[in-house]
Amino acid sequence: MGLRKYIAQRIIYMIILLWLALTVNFIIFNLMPGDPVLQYIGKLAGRIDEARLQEIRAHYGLDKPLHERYLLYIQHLLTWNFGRSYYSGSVSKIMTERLTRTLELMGLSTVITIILGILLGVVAAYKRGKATDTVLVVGSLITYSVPIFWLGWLIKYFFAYTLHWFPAGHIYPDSWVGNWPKDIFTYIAGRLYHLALPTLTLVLFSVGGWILLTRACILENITEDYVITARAKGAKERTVLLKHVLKNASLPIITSVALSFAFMIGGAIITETLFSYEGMGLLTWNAIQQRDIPVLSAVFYVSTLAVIIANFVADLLYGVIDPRIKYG
Amino acid sequence: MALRKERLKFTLKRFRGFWNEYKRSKRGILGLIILIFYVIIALSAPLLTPLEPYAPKLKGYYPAGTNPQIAARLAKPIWYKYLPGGRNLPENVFPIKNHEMPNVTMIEEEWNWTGSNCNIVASPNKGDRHDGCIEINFTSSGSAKIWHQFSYPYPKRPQKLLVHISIFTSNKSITSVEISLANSTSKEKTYTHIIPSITLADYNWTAKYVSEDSPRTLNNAFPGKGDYLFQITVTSKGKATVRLDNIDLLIYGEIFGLLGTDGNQGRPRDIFTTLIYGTRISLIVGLLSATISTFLGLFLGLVAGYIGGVVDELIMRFADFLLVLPTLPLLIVLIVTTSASIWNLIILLSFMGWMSFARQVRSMVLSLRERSFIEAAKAVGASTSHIIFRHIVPNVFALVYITLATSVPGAIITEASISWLGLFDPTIVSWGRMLYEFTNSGVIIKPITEYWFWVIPPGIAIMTLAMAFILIGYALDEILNPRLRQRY
Repeated sequence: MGLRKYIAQRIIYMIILLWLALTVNFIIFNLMPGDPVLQYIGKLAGRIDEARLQEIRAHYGLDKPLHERYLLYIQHLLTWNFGRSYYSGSVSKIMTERLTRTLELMGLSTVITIILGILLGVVAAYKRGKATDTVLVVGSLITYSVPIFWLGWLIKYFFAYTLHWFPAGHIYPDSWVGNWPKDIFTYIAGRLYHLALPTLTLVLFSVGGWILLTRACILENITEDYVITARAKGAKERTVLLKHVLKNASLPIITSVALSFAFMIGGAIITETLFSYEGMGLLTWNAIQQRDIPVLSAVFYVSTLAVIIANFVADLLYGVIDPRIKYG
Repeated sequence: MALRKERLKFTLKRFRGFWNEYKRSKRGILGLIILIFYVIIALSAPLLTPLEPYAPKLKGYYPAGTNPQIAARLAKPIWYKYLPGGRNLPENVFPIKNHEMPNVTMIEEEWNWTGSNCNIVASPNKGDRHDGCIEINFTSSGSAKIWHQFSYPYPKRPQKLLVHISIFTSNKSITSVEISLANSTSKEKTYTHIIPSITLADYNWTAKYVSEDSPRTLNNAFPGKGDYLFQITVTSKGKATVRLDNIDLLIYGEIFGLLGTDGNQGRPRDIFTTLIYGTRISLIVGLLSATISTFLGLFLGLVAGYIGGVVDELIMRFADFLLVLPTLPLLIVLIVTTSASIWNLIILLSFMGWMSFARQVRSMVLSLRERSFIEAAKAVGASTSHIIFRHIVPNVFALVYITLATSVPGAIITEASISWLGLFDPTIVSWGRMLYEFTNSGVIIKPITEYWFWVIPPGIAIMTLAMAFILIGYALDEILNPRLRQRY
C-alpha cells in the first residue's frame, strides 16, 4: 500500500468519525429525555417576537419528520450555522471569534508544553535514579494531581495580585479599546503579556504528562541492542539519548500530541474562565450559567472537530515519519 | 470444605507475598497511608464534627423564620487566638443557655426582672409552643424590665449581633418593646432597638429577629471587654398581659471552627465540616466510577478479544470513537441536558473511562488465547465461560487492580472541575463546589489572610487524595505488571 492510499484511508476514517460525532451531537440535543431543543424554544418564547420564534423552529425543522431534522441538523453544523444563542445573537459569529483566541492560547501552550516536556523527560531519563530524576517525576505527579483551576488560582494570586507582574485577566489591555495599536510589535507584545498567565497555567497543567511519557518511552528503548551498539562505538551518553533513543521513542510521543489536544481543551475551558480570557472556554462557562444549549452544542461540536483534525494530522505525520509503517 | 480451606490458605499466602513486596515500595506505603487517613475521615465524619455540612444552623425553636447561622461570614480559624496578637479576637458569645424557657427554674436562673404597676412571673406553660415563658401582668400603665447579665471578654467588637424574641400581648395598641444592651456598672445603654409595632399573628404570638452588622453600631454597642446587661423593656399604657419567650442573644465573633467559615451570604458553612464531608463525595465518585469503568472495560475487552470478528471490530471502533470525544465538553453538555446529580455524574464518568483498559485487556486476551494451556483446556472440553473465568480472567486480573488505582484520580479531578464550572449537585457540597463558591464570591480582592482557609484546604485535599491513588497505582504497577518487573 502506498502513501497515497494510506492518506485516502485516513481521510475516510476521519469522515466516519466526523459523522459519528455529528450524530452524537444530534442525539444529545434532540433526543435526550427532557428535549433540550424544545426547552430552549420554550425559554425563548415571550422574550422574542413570534416571527423570530418561527424562524428558529424552522432552523431546527421541528415541523418535519425526524430523519429530515437529522439531515438539517448535520447540514447546519457542517456549514458552521449554529443557530441563535439565548442572549447574544448568532452563535456562529461569536464562535468564530472566540475559537481563534482559544486556538492562540492552546497553540502557544501546546508548543511550549511539548518542547519543555520532551526536554525535561530526556533530562529525567538521562539522570535516571538520581535526585534530578526524582524531583522531575515527583513534580510531574504533583502537577498531574493538582486541579487546574486551583493551580491557576495560585498563579493568578502570586503573579497578578501579589507581584503585579502580569494582568489578572482579559485578552488585551483595557487602554486599547477605541485606540487600537497600529504597530504590530506593540500588538503582539500586548497580547503576549495577557497570554502569559493562562499559558503558564496550561503548560504546568500538562507538562507533567509529557515528562513522564518521554521518560517512559526512552527507558523502554534504552535496553535495546542498538543502544548498546551506539555506546560500544564510544558515543557520548547525550548523543546516544538525543540521536538514537529519542528518535525511536518519538513515535508514541507524536500520537500523544493528538490525544493531548482533547485533554487540553478541557484545561483551556477552565483556564479561560479563571483568567476571563474571552475565548471558547469563557463562552462555555457563560453558556453553562445560563443553560444556553445552542452555544454548548456548538462548543461540543467544535472541540470534537478540533480533536478529530488533530488526530488526522498526527496519523499523517506518523505515516510520513516512520519508514517502517506499512500504511494500514 | 477442605478444598475451600486450602484455597483460602493459598490466597492468604499469596496476599502475604504480595504485601511483602508492596511494603518495600516507599511511594506505595505513603499512598496507602494517605488513603487510609481519608477513608477513616470519611467514615467517622459525624463523630469528628457535630455540625451539618450543607446549611448549618443553630438548634432549637426560632419561630421568627429559619434558625440562625452558626457563625459570622468568613470567620477565621479558632486557633488564631493562640497566635501572637490573637487573644483579642472575639469568639462567638451566646450568653443565653436555653432560649426556649423550658421550665421555671431555668427561667429564674437566667433572668432578673423588676417593674412598676405590674406583676412579673415565670410561667411553666403558656409559652410560644407550650413550654415556659415570662408573663407580665400590667394592672395599669407601667413598665417592666427583664435582664440577663453576661460578660463580653474581648476588647474588639464582634462581627454580628442577632436577637430573637417572641412576644405575646393581649392589647397590641398599648404595648411597646425595647431591646437594649447596657454596661452593667454604669447602667449606661450602649445599644437600643425599639420594636416599632407588634403585629399579631392569629395565635397572638409574634416573633422577631433583630440583626446588626454595621461596624459602627457594633463598635458603640461593645466599647470594650466587661460585663453587660441584655435587657428587654416592655411598656404598657394600660391593663394588659404580655408574655415573652424564645429570647436569645447571639454575638458572632471573628473566629470559629478549626478552619473558619466560608463566605456564603446568610448561612456560612464551617469549612472543616464541609471539607470532611467532601471526603465522602470525592471517595464515592472516584471509587465508584473507577470500579464501574474498570469492570466495563474488563468485560468489553474480554468479549472483544475472545469472541473476535465483527463484535471485536464494533467494540474497538466504538472505543476509538469515544476516545476522540473531548471529555470535559461532552460531560458539560450531558450534564446540562440531563441532570447534575452526583449519581448521574458517576454513570457518565464510568461510561467515558473504560476505553483504554478494554484495549489493554483485549490485547492480552488475544495473546493468551493462543497459549497452549488454553488449547489444553479446550481439548478436555471446557466450556467458553469456564475458559474465560478460570483461565483468562485470573491472568488479566492483576491489571484490574492497577487500573482501578490509576483511574480514580482522573475521576476525582474531573468531578472537582465539573463542580468548579457550576455543574454541581445542588444537594451536596463537594471540594470542587467549595472552590466554585470561592471563585464566585469576589473575596479574592481582599488580602489572602482574610480567606486562605477557604481556598487552600480544598485544593490540598483534592491534590493529596488524587496523589494517594497515583502512588498506589505506581506501586501496584511495579509489583503486578510482569513486563515492568523484568525491566527494573
